[in-house]
Amino acid sequence: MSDTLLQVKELKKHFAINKGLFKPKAYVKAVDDVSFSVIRGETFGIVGESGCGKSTTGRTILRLNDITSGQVIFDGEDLSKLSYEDMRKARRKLQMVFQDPYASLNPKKTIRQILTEPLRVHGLFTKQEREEKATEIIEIVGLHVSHLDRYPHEFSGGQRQRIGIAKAVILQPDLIIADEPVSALDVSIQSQVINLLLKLQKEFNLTYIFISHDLGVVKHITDRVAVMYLGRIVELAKTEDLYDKPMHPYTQALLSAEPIRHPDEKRERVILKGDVPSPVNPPSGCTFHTRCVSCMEICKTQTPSLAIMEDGRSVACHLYN
Amino acid sequence: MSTKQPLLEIRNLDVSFRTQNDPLRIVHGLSLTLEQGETIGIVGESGSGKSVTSLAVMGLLPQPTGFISNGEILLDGRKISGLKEKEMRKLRGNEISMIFQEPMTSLNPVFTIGDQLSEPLKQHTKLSKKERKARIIEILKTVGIPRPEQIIHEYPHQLSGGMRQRIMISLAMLAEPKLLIADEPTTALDVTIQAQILDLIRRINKKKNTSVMLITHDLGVVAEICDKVAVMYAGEIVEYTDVRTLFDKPLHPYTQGLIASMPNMNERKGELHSIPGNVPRPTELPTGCHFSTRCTFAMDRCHKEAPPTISSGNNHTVSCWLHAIEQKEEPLEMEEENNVRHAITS
Repeated sequence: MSDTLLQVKELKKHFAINKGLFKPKAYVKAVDDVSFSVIRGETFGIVGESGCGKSTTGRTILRLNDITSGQVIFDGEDLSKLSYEDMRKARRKLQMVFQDPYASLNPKKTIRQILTEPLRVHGLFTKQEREEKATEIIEIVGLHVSHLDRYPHEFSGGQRQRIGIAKAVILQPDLIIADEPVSALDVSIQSQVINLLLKLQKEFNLTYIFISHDLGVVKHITDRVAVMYLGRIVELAKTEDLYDKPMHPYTQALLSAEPIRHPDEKRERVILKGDVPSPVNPPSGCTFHTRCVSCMEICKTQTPSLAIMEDGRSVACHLYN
Repeated sequence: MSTKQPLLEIRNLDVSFRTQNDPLRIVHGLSLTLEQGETIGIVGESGSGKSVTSLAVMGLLPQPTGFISNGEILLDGRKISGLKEKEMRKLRGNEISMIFQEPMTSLNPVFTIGDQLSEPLKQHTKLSKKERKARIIEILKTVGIPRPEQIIHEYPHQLSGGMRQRIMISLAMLAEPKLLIADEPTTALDVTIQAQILDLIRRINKKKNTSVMLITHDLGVVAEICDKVAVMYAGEIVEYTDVRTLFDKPLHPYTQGLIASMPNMNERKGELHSIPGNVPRPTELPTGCHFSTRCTFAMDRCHKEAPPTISSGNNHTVSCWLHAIEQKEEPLEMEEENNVRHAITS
């Protein structure tokens, strides 16, 4: 068996909404019964539209949100059981890169302070060694030592994202959860940052969970992909298999909606009707049945479970059961 | 001028912004034409001046800082740049309409959808209240809004992003404009919703013969619906051609780089093609060709002199020294003037 680094078991994250003093609380099932495992050294992608719970899944693994129920087993240790302090320590091995490089760096701190802070928080190295580390990492991510004494506002979006990545990598974590790391960047800068992520992965033997709505980027960078819809995984497969032959009707529609690459390219497009339903009150049965082109009677009442196919992928759809 | 007049013609447009020091030129020497029923894509990264161009056409440049410092904009042969605000208001929402990137912030949160949609009809038509309502319901149906009779009594926050963008489109289409300007209409939306909205814009374009000026950073969107494309970099059009030629035979190194850096064009897991460096700020533009600092083909000349705009047939123009040499250095007539202006500005 390959070496499993992270195992997520039946993870749930429900947010309560107050409806009023005497009314029962409503719950947004942002993540509802999600299970998957991540193998050491791979890039695991999570795709889906806004509101499908992909970011919440990433944040809940790191316990930036409390876990409603379920387990997150990282390197043999159940993160869901750790105390607040122990979890802080554990985060040395699990780091996150955020989407918005404008909001995720402290504007009052210099890059030197931003980069040495994670080391200082975890009590690693002496002051001088920390500075050396910062100097080392800033060059690795393609910036210059002279940038260390500048402030975040002096950098462009792409450069800030490099700093955000440096901040995560400086701790030499095992796993980096990258939540839409390139979505806020321009096309020409986007490819630079993707190249940087690929380079760092080789150099430091990193494992990534790559969360994105951009199907092109996910196809390029990931080994396996989970497609999420309304808080659940509807299909999980090797990247090549998924893009070659999507099986779940939602995956098919999602892939077909991606813009074409050339004006002469013809694509059979499955245009989904309507919007993603509200996660407060998701449809009964299969949550996708309201928009599905091949909806059957059973879909309206019974929730399909993830079934494993011949090629090792899993699909949650009654069509294949 | 015996042939049909183009719907929109922009000639040598310069847009500048007043600053504490000298005015800062954001868009420079931009010329393009758009025929009735055509769709043009304006592609560029942030800071390339694509949105400023569209605001200039709409007469919506931020006042009092932004102004058109040179050139003119013609709509149906009539000069609209420099029109008085009162005149401009008659055009906006009537002959030219615009949809914006953020459907959340461009609708008024305190008015119902019906109120907001009746506004352009009150401004530009003499319909009665009842007729207005009928017209609004009709247009909401055409953009694919379910149960329009109820939706007109709802507020923007009650709708999803895709629905709000549909409302924006119906708002823009109410007066049946000749020109629709769409500034990143799908950037804030999910792919499945993006496909719906692009499909809608395409249908409006076909059915009503509305010309569309689509501003985007996404070459995929351009491939989907545009007839021709202008690629902008640092305030100038660097390449201008029909959409097929752009994808089949891009001439400018910047366009080539953009197309090559689409993840789908690269081998999986391999290093993506990328353009080194960043888009220069308007205050720090390099002399000569603005792209010279990031261009792999840059020659000595590129760092010193601004490149001429070269025509390579079939309405394909490119501003690059590489192609100037192939073409025996025979710049178009307009370009000499262009170079002189380059030389004047530091």
